[in-house]
Amino acid sequence: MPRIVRKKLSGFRRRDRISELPDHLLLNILVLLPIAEAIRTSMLSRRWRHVWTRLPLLEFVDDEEPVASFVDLIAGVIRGYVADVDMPDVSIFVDLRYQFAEAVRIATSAFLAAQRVKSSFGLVLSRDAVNWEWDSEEPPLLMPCFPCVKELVIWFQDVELRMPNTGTFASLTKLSIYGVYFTDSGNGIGDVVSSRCPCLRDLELRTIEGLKQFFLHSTSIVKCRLDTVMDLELLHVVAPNLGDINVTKCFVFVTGPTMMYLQLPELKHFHWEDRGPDKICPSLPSKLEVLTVIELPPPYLKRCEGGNSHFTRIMKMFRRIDTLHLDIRIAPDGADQKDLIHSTSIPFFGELDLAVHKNGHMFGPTILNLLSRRSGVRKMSLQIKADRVAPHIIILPCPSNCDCHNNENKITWHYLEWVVMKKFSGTEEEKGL
Amino acid sequence: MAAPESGDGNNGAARMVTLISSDNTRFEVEAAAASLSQTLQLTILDGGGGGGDGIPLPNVDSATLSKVLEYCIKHAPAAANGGAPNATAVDRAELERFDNEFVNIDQSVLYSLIMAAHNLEIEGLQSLVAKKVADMIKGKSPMEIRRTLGFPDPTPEEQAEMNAHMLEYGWAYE
Repeated sequence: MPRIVRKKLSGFRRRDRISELPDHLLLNILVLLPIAEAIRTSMLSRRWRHVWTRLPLLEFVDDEEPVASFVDLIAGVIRGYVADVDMPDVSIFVDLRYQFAEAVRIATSAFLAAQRVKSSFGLVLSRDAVNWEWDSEEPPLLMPCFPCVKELVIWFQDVELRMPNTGTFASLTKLSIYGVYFTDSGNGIGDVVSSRCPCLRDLELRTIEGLKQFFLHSTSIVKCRLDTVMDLELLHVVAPNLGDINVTKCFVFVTGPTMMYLQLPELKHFHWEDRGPDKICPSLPSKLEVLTVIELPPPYLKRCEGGNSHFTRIMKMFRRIDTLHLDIRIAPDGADQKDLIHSTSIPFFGELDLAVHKNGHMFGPTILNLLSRRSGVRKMSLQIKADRVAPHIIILPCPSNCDCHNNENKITWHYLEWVVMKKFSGTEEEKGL
Repeated sequence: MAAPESGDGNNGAARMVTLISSDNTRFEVEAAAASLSQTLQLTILDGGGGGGDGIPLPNVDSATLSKVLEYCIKHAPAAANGGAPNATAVDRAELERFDNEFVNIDQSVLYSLIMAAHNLEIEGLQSLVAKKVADMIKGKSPMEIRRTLGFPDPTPEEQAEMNAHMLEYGWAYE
């Protein structure tokens, strides 16, 4: 009897209407939830059991997931994801604090998706995610091959990353690696990007240790950025289609001899903010579209012998430049500045965008010296900067024979069409210019 | 007037279009508001919906359509400005207040809106209603979710299935 009543009542019970929505609309809702909560809807009914296994985006954010174990969640989702469709973009963001070995386990469980992700894979551990104090165990992170992925980002501070020995990253177009160190001098990463990434177009390596010799031989690559690759002794790039390269604060960390070999016939943009390597073997186009040379900030300059970063070595690799962006510090007794004024192998340039940190020196003559030898300049802009100097530091006056006083040249700009001057504070010297 | 007017016309009055719901109710609305629907926009650009013709919407009933149009009329001016750039903070706050109130409705209407927003391809409304349902689920226990979404209390068999399922998916729980 009670059973019948129950049945009868259930006929009148309000039915949930949400279950009538088609899967793709339910997924539009589930994708807005933390992944664990999206999965929990599978307990609602048989109708819901497998809806989550087709989530169109797998974004794991550890401090938003209400689960006991983030590692188990990632592994569970990747294992449970439906097998008959491509796995969507996978990103893992780690902000909470873990023991080192646990952080590596998180990354390793994320790598379970390596074979299946088609479009993009990102693993980002914030700087605070690893607690160094508790842990002496520092296992390396073994990177698998991602045969189908197009974009790959790995951001894991101070982990030893071991590149896979086999497998081709057949679809990879963009690779970014931050924070890791290599123990093989960089042979692994060089081998992967040179021999096993046939479609790689864009490479970024930032805050990397242990990469001593970087060989990048690639016909597909068009853009490369190396930033704070701290042990770089040799940079060897042979890339017939590379148009854009950026080297920032790499060689400056190395005390031994350094060398750069560049064979880049299609180079158009070159950005440099580093110590000039001791030996440079360039094979470059005679004309560059844009050269940007930014002098290292003072703390880095101190690491360079005599405080000279030898940025003029970079300028001398080129004969003609359409647009030269030059950001320099006036240091009249410095080798670079003397070179800038006296060397005959400074390239010709059509446009000059000059920023000068004057550091208490006369800057006008130096600029005039530089410009007087380049009468073909069409456009120029000039910006005066001042390094922030602590009050107790006294800037020594420069000697009277200092180059900064040598102002005998007269400039003739036959072609100058356009001049912009920024941040002039109106001192007498600036007015005089 | 059989020939469709081109564009908004220069006669000052905004161009109107007629939409016909599945239960044959006619709604006259400014073309700019109806054009929030990607589906309707094409028809309207082709000059459809004007005069006595009307655009039939066989998948949307009148109750849902009137709700959809309420949303479109409110959001049309901001959409015409290309979204945010010209909107003042006051305008945005007012739209936000409207949106919050707008989805404060019976669940069956909400699900009809999800379907309609999808069929008519009204992007803003799709995300608004999806977010409302997601918020109804978020942070709740399984039983709370069931009740919120209007699921009947589980039968003993269903309860046993649920328990087994929660064991299997232990990694998705705290």
